[in-house]
Amino acid sequence: MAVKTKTGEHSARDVFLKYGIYFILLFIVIVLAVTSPSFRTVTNLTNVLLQVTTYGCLGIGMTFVILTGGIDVSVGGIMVCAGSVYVILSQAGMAEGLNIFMIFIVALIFGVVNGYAVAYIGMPPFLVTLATQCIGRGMSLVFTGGASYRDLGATFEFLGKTKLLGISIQIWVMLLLFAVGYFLLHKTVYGRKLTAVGGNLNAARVSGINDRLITCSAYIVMSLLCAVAAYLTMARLGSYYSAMGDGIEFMVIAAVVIGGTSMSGGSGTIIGTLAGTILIGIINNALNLFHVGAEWQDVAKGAIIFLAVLFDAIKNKAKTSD
Amino acid sequence: MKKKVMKAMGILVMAAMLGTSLAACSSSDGESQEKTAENGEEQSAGEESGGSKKLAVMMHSVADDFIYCCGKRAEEYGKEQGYDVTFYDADNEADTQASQVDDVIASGFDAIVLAPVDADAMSDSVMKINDAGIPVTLLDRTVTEGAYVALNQANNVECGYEGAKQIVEQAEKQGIAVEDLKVLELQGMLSSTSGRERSEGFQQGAEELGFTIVSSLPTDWESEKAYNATLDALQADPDINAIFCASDGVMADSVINALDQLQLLKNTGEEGHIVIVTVDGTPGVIQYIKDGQIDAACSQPAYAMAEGAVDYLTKALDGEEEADACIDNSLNPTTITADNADDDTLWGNNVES
Repeated sequence: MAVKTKTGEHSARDVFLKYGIYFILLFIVIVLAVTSPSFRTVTNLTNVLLQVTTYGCLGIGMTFVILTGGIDVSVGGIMVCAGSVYVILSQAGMAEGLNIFMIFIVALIFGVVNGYAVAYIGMPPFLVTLATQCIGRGMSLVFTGGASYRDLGATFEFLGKTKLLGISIQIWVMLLLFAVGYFLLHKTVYGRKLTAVGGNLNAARVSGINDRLITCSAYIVMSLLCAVAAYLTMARLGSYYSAMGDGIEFMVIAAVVIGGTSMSGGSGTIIGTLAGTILIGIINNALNLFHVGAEWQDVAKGAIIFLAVLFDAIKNKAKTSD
Repeated sequence: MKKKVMKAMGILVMAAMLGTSLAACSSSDGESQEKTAENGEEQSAGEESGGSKKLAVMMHSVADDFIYCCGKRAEEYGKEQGYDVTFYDADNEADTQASQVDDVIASGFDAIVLAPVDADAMSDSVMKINDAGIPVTLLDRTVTEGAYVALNQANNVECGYEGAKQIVEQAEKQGIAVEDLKVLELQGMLSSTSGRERSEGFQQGAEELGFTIVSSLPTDWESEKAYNATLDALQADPDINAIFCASDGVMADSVINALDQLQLLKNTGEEGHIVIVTVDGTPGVIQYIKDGQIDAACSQPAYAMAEGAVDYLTKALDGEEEADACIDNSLNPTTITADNADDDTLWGNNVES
């Protein structure tokens, strides 16, 4: 009898740990919708989605990386470096299409270096990507001297200003990427292998998975999404600026972990990441709607990251005690 | 065996990347030294102000157009005055700047222009410069301790205050009375001196001139945050009819694009135009003013600041000023409107694109 109650409690806790983020998100949305008339409008919903496009794109890739048990703090550095290469090439009068291609090539180089260093050389992911972040940011200053640039080109104008069904094309791109990410991660052999590598490396190796290649690929996927994020951000803001993506990695990691992806790897979902991203977006949005000053905004953001890590720790503890 | 080869290859790749990054770190000095070599003739021509004395221009960062122009102008003007100039960028890191200062002292420079990363963190470095007997002028920001010839900065409180005055003046042109103004203030980073002082000046102006600030939102000098804050503020208060940006270098494009997204972007004079006044006066904002999308900007006196920093050093080296005079050379902003947007004494019209 007593045992039965215990399992009952267990499963309730499990349900909360698994779906807690959705309850929290729903709760916050309801509270804000009730208390703030400016929150509960369609425009505000599209504002929030537009504001999280960068976080969202990066979050998809970060989910892949964290699933393998790794971490990538170089995302902001890759974004700004890829963006700066675009800017100097277009200043030199090169064709826009080619320059956009170069955004992806530059990001890809970073992804290959990160992935290779982590998967094949065995360097610690945090330090590798910290190093490549510095390199990326440094190189962007070498290329542009720190100046900012506007009038980026026709496709930026298109990506920044076009609306489909009354909703910015940026949001459609982000949702499409989430759909692709969902498919890759949850519906393909590749996705299963990715989860297996992060879950139990030895078991994955024994079952014949090329774990190095899988781990390396996660960093490459991440880097390509950095290229997309840079492209979208520059289009949305109408300019390249040298602080682009500065410190963004922490909010992205927080969104992914809040979304239920375990920092120790092996478990996580793309839908969770979308929910975590929107949660962070809504909190940032509400802080502004309620005219909250700079100091408390920082406190709130710190608290979000703290709660994310706390949530992860509780979950890990639950896992090991089972 | 194969593994070893792979490992060796990997290490080579990393070494190559490290090499590039080191090159990246030193390239700014490399570049300026090259330029110095090119300008060799000019240097000998500039004998009258100290021959080829070594001048270090040490910037806290080059991350926005204003500070970039300011630093470049100090470098260029230094060369015009006959100095052998080396340019340093601390990338906003106090530690980096402290070790750069150590290096500069050790390499026997004759004079230093220092744009400190942080007033407290750089005080020790300034005192080390004092101990070494090298004259130093401060650019853009001050330090809490240590002696210098002169502090050459924009009067940031005045930049904010002038912004408030311009909001009222431009709103009147738009037919909006002071008491009907509902203003969004986009603040800089409040932990930075310029961010705090501009906000102080602006809020003081609002109080004295009698208009309402409906929302003061932080941007941390980040374009993306400025974009998001503009969307949110207009969502919360759709009757906002004026926006003050504490820096146009990082905010002008994002505010314009956010208004465009909300279909609220109208030219000056049109019904429903939201009055926009900014601080800095970057080339981008001058273009917006000419195009009629932004009303006015309080232009930072970048050139006067940079030239002042070099001139005070020359005076100290010539014995005209004491090395520890601590002169406060605070310079007021110049207002840019559609009337004077072509003025070529504005720093924003002197940026090579």
